[in-house]
Parts: sequence; structure tokens; C-alpha cells
Amino acid sequence: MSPPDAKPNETGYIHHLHADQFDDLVPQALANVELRGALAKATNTIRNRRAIALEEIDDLQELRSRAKSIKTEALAHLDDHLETFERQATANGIHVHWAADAESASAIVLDIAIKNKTRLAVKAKSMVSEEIGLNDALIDAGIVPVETDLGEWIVQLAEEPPSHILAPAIHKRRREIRDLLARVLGRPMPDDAAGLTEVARHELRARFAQAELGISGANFLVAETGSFLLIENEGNIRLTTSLPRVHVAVAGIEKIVPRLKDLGPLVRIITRSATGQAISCYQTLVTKPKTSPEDDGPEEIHLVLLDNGRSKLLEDDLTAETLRCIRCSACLNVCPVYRQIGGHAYGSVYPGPIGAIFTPQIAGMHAASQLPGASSLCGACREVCPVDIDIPGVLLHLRHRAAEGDQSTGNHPEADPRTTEKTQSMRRGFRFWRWAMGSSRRFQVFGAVGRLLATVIRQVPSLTKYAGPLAGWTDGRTVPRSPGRSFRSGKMARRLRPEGQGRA
Amino acid sequence: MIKDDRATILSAIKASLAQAASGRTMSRLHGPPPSIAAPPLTNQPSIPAVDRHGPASTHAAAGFQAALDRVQGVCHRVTSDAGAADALQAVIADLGVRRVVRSDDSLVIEILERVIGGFELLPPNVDRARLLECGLGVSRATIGVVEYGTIVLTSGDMAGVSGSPTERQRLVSLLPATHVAILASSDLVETWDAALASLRSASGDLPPTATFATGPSRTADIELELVLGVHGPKNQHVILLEHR
Ligand code: SF4
Repeated sequence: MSPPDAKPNETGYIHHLHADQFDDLVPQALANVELRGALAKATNTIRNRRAIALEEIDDLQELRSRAKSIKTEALAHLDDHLETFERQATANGIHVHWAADAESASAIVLDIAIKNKTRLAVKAKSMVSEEIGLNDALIDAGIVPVETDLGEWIVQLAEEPPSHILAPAIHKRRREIRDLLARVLGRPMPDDAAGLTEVARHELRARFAQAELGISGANFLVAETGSFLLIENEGNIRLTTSLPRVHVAVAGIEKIVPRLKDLGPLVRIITRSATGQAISCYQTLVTKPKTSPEDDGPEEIHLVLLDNGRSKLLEDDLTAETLRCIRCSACLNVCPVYRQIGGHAYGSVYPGPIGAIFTPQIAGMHAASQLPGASSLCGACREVCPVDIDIPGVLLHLRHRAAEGDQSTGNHPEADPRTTEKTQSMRRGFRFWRWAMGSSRRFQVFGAVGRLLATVIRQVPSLTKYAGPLAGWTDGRTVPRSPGRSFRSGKMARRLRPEGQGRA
Repeated sequence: MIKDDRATILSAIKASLAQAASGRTMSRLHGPPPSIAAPPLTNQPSIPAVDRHGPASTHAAAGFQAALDRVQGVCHRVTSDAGAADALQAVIADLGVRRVVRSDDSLVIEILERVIGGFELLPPNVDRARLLECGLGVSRATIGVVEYGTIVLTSGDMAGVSGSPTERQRLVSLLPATHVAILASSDLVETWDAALASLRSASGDLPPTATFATGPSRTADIELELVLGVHGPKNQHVILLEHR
């Protein structure tokens, strides 16, 4: 949370952020066998579909580099493009608003809702609206926000946050969903996915027909024409932007692309990276409110441009890469950490590798210093990223910042005490390691001690609780099985040893 | 009072970009060239208006049909208006639809006039409650995309876009469980990008809304099982008029 007097571009604010509880959330997630089963199945399926879809693109590398250079170019002149976008969109009859932080974005949307006497607002899935805590702001004002994306609706009914950028209910099994709907709607529910989907269609139709306001995000903003593009499969975005009299879209400033023709390569690569489809069902390009009274569609369209700490990321070429993200979620599906712990453990709207770099940079290191550690640095995320974001590079940069104390929030005072302690205990560990490895004698002695300890600890697991100063290291790790004797004393090592050297 | 943060944001961006640039100057002395340096933008309109009214080949029609088939849509290729009416009649009869809503496109109206009937036909300006009761909607597709089997649905006052109708189709193509699009083969283009380009009029204007729709709506939100027809149509038919 930003201190009250923070300059708007210092750090932003992410609603419902509890990334500081990462250490507690992870063991919970790992203990949830059901969750891990669902995640493994789901992420595997999406990953394979993506791999197949991308195989069909002959010029994949060429497409990736075009997508990357479009976003890079957009960011390099972001101020100009935003001004052009504003000019064009305004000429088209769209109301453009600027919000430096989450609070003012919420206030802008709320103001529009109240002016239009909104009682019910339908919402199409939007990460940004979660980021700014729009639902809570609406509810506080007596307005009912209804999520309309199927997965998003399910997690809203379950009063949970989404756990995946594109498949928000990925952590839920069908049985759970059936029981949830039966409880909320007070009647028995069908057992199959098709039946449950039909129920949702029916329930939500009524909401679409009543709502005074439709709220969406936007995938891309086109500076050249003042239009914006919405990408989806279900049709709820089409309904959200067609039925209510007023439509508000909220988008991060980094969503801009310079030209209309930039949409082609991005549309082509985003869905293939995301779900493995060749193309999503619907892309809707919104340019103007309706032009004649008897036409369908909203009379009024608003677009809110949100900064919330993003402009700060442009200060450095490495951190700026974060803003290239097109939220395809490919990096989540390949991340060995995400695949084990799921989205909720990240304690942020933005989970997975992209969340691990986006959240701390937006909300400040003090609020999410553990997240950059939530990675094995295996590089799988960068390999799949359609815009080639150096996620491991940014992670390392942020880990360094976490260890040094966060420069962006003053020097050390706000650093999470747990992090500091962990860092110090790691430093102690490495100092000891260096000393123990320093001579062949010490290496042998501590090797033997280590094998003995490993054997004892594996037999009495409760001993791991007493790791004392080493807890910072041992908390997140299990004790390896002891090999019984050292490698150096084995046959293989003897054979490898050059002639003339004595036994170890 | 709502404050507007325009100036704050723009100056924050400018300051950050300047700082990045100076960082780059420093590191240029030592390191590799910057990754973010990008060529300046040229200010010309990027996409010239495209004339898509060339003769369409059977090759394109077959390609469109195959692509739509891959995404669980159905393409009916016909060679006369009477054939189009027959195809439409068959879809309506197969599904047992009793109430049909149409857009106000002239070609759509012409074809519907040839359909024998057996159902109630409503114009696009009926009130919403009645529209919600319709099982099938018929409208015109402004463009068809061969590579994906995509249809492009445009709305509003299309004056200025050559050959495109002024059409009220947004709800007609969206609310009923089945959508039938009427597509002339002269409106087929090869790629998504070409379709986007051809939406622009000579003066560069775009229609108020353009939806690129590929097959029936779908979700995989429950255990990643594919279900067709969540909020948008469950059945997507395209009647492709190869003679037009
Ligand atoms: S970081 Fe890359 S892979 Fe991950 S969501 Fe963003 S664009 Fe997709």
C-alpha cells in the first residue's frame, strides 16, 4: 500500500494483496492434494494444446519478434501514443479518463456508475479491475457487481479470488462447482460441465438484461484509431459491451499499440500462447458508441487509463520489459512452482512468473518481497513468453533488490523483517559453507557429519523444526536421502582419480 | 470531485523514459546495445483501404468451409438465392425453431422472403424481452476470413465503407442460441489482417463496433472440458453465397 504522500508514480497499490503471507500460503497449498491434482491436469492440458498450436505457425520466431518489437516500440514512446490515443478516441466520442493510482481509477468508475443510477453492473473478466479493487468499491456504494465470465462467476459465488489469469476456476473440481451452485441457487444441479454451463447462461442472461452498466478491461488500445480490442471465447464480453446503456473499460497504460495493423500479429500469437486455439472465438474492436438512436450498443463509452506504478517501471530497460506482457498466461502453465502451489499462494491478483515480477514492482517490494523467490529460475517462462520478457532476469534483479533493501521505498526500514532474517541466515549458511569447503580435511569431516545428520533427521522428521539459525534455508527444503558413504570413497571416484593420488 | 491525473501520468512517463535513456547512454560505453531502443513512429495511416470485391475462387470457399468446420461451425455453400433460402429453411426446421429474428440488411431480407415459413419472423427492433425468446438470428457477415473461418460482424452507420450495409445486427447475432450469417463469396479475404484492413473506409473511418467471430462461443472453465454455447451462440452457421 502506498503511503499517503507517495508520488503517484512511486509505487502503486494492488487490492487484497497478501503476498507477504507467501511463507504461510505455500505449505497450505502444497498440503492440498485435490488442488495439486487439478492444477497438474489443467496446466498439462493447456501446455500441450499450446505446443501443438504453435507448431502450426511456420514463422513462429518471426511472429514473436514482431510481437516483441511492437510492444517495445509502443513503450519507448508511451507518452506520445497515449496522447494520440486520447485525441483519436475523444474524436470518436469515447470519454477518456486518466487514473494515476488504483484509488482514483475506482473513483472514476464509481462516479460514472452513480451518475447513471446504476444498481447492477455486469463485469467481463478484467485483471485490472481486480487490481484496483473495483468490486469492493461498487459494493460499498450499494451497487451490485456481477462477474459474467463463467470461471470468474464461479469464484465470485465461492467468494474466492481467481487463481489463473485465463481459467480463474482452474483449481476447482466439477463436483465442488456443482455443490456450490446447488447451495447458492437453492436447487439441485446437473452433474456435467455442459449442464452447469447451461445453468450459468440462463442465470446470467437475466443479469445482462437488467444491468445499467457494463465494465470490461481491454487487451489492446490502438493509438492510431482510438479504438480498443477485446478478446474472448464465451461471448460475455460481447454482451457486457452491447446490452447496458453505458460501457466502461479500464486498461493499464501499457496496453497501447501504435497502429491498427499491429493487432494482427498480437491477436495471432496471444490465443495460441494462451489456450492453444488458432484464434479465440471473438475479437471485438470498439471504436465509437452507437451512431443512431435505434442502433444496438451503448450510448456512452468510457475508457480509464491506469498508471498505478507502471510508469515507474520504464526507468530501467530491464524492468520495462515487464510492461510488454500481454497476459497470455503461458508462463503460468509451464512454471514448476505455479504448477505445485497454484494461483492463490501468490497472494495477488497476478499469479505465476509474471505475477512474481509484476506484483512487487507495482505494490512495492515491502509488500511482496517473497514473490521473486517463488521461482526455480529454470527459464521455462521466458522460453514460452510470446513477447520474450526476460522473466528470470527481472526476478534476479528483484531478488537483489529484496536482499539489499528496497531502494524504491527508501532504504531498509520497511523491508519485511522475515526477509531480513531469512537473508541473514542464508548469508550465515554460505559463510559456513565456504569455510567448510576450504580444505579437503574439513570437506571430509563435514561430509561425514552431514550424511549422519541427514540419516538421523530423515528418521526423526520433527527435528527439522529445530534448525535454529538455518531455518531460513531448511523451511523451504526437504532433507535429501543420505547416500551412506561419500562419493570420494566409491569405486567410480577411485577410477576417475588421476594415477598417483592416494586414497581419500 | 474526481481529479484527473493526465498531467501527472504523462510527466511521470516522460521522466522515466528520460532516466532509462540516460542509463542507456552510460551503459553503451560498456555493454551491448539497448533492447528498448525503437525506431520513431511514422505518422502515416498504416493500412490502406483494401478493395475486397474481386472474384472469389472456389478454392477460397472450400478453405473457408474447412476452417469453420475445424471450430465446430457449419458452412453451407450455395450457388443461388433460392439455394440459400433452402439452406436456411433446413437449419430452422432441423432445430425446431419457432421464432426467428433478422437484421435489417437488404440481402438478409431478400433471402428470408424466399423461405416458406413455419415460424414467426421478427425485425431487429423488437423489444428485448421478445428478442430473448428468439431461437435463431439471421444477419449479414460483412467479411469472411478464409484462414480461420471467421466472420466479421459490423454494426452501426456504415456509410462510407464501400459495400457494407448499415446494419443492426449486434443483438441478433449474439442473443439467440443459433446464429446464421449470410456471406457473399466476394467478401472473402485470405487473412485476419486483411479483414481488419478492409474495415477501414477510404477516409480511414472504422465502424462503431466490429466483431470477428470464429465458430460457436465456447468455454473450458470447468475442468478444461470444452463446452459450446456459453454466453454467445451455441450453433454458428454460415450460408456462403458463391454466386455473389
Ligand atoms: S509474461 Fe509473457 S508468457 Fe507470461 S503472461 Fe505475460 S506475455 Fe504471457
